[in-house]
Amino acid sequence: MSTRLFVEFTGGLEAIFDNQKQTEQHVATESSQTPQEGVSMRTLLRHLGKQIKKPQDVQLMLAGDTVRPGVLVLVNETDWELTGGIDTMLNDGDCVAFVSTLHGG
Amino acid sequence: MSKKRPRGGASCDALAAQLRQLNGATQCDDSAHSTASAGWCGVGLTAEEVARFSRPCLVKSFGPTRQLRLCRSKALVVGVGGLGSPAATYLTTSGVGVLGLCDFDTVDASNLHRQPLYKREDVGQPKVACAVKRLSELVDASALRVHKSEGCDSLETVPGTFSIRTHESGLTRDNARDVVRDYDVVLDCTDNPRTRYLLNDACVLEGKPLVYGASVGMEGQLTVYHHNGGPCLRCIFPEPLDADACDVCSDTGVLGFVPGLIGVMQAQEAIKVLTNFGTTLSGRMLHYDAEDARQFVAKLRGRRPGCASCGDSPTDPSSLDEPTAGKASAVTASCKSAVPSTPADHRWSASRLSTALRHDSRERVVLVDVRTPNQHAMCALPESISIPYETCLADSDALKVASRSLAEAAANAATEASDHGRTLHVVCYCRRGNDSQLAVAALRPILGAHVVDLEGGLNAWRRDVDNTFPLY
Ligand SMILES: [Zn+2]
Repeated sequence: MSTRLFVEFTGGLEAIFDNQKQTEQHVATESSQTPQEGVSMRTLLRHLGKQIKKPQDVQLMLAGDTVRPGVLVLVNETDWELTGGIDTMLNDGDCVAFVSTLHGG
Repeated sequence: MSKKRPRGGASCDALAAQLRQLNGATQCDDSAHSTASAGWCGVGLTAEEVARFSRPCLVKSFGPTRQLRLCRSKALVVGVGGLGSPAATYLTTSGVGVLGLCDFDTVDASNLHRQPLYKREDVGQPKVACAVKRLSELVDASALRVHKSEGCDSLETVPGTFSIRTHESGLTRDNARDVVRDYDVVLDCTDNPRTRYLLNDACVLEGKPLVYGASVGMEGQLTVYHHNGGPCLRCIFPEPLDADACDVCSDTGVLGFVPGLIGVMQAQEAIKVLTNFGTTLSGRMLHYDAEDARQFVAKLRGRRPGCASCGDSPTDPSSLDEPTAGKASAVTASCKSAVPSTPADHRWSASRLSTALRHDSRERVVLVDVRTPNQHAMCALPESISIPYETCLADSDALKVASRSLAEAAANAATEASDHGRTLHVVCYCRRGNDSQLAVAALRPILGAHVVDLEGGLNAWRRDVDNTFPLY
């Protein structure tokens, strides 16, 4: 079983994923979870990490098992700090956006 | 024949009615100015102000009371560049009472496409002085007052006048709190993370709302920090990251209308903050992508009690990050900081290359441009081959293809060179002489010891050899 998510990359992060800004991800549901529970952000990050082709690109988005500082994670347009962070559970049709901060003027 | 109404009569009636209605309700802090209107404007706008600002006064939810408040308030624009140009322009025409302009920088030709405050003849001149000249043309000369930051602690907003105050030394660690102190709102129109954190900390300490705008490439971001109990920059992003400095306009590029849009919206949010109008972006962030004209407004986390800047027990700001003085100093060096220390005999100076390229030279040179294809197409040394440095570094098919064609070119050149008794060199070059070193390190194992790089890149070429080569 897998969960279908809409995942968006902005602020240059799309360069890590073949310049795709909007993607559809099918994330395998972990055995510990029933399909109804969906998948966790943690699982999604692991799923995305495997898609980064160049090893030197990983640090542009990830740090350890979470997201690097300076990248804002939005779950359905809400800061993931408000939705449960890395333990946020995601269900079919949810939107996750990774927004890199911009500083240019 | 029916009786004609005078043109614009309906507007005047509506304004008069609104003024009458507001008459009783607005005798608060603004009453001191009511003498200026000789009694006929209920809120205290001058005749010239009514003539200028009748349209915003007519907007039902905005009205003359808010317009008056705007005319008597003070806004500071830090960074008068791509964001600051439109922001300062709209704050001026919208009628803010005192406009502060803070920037140490001078106008560069590469600014003109996105900074419409400046003209070609301004290149090399201080931005703030040029901005004052241009903005002055938008207001009545008799109403204009220009102040230097030195020696004026607090400016009074005088009815019927428009003041510009200049802060030409830019924002530094030593002056940041003093610079922001006299304003009611601050607009962050700067272009580098360190100045942004410095400005955030100064605004928190002085209790000023901060309207944050940023843009790179095709994307822009906008939010309001430290306003109405909302989060500050450090609540969301506790520390500036060196890596962030990479995404700057001078390297990534930017399309002018993106900072244009964001800068105008910064003026919009500043005016909303000043006049307590509508719903500001405090606690929310707008992200705009011009490429497909998509935007979203994200809900941000609230103020963080543990925030080093605005939290319950804030850290001494002097122990926070160490912002460098001024705006661009942190980002003028190339972003690729991890440059190997290349041995001197692996590098050529611009004049060395120039000698080798002469017709009577005993050397044959194959030039390799390791910049991006866009930069190569924009301006390059004649007859150079484009192999982006990322291709040189990647252990990829692209490198194999590129190095094969380069090896071919080199072999042809070598044959030709030996036919004429000349020696062959492959010279890699980039903009500043950093990426080219990485390319040399990657290409030497493939092509051999005759691969060198151009020290100082095209900047050095322009400086030492050919001053007609475009600077960008
Ligand atoms: Zn804070």
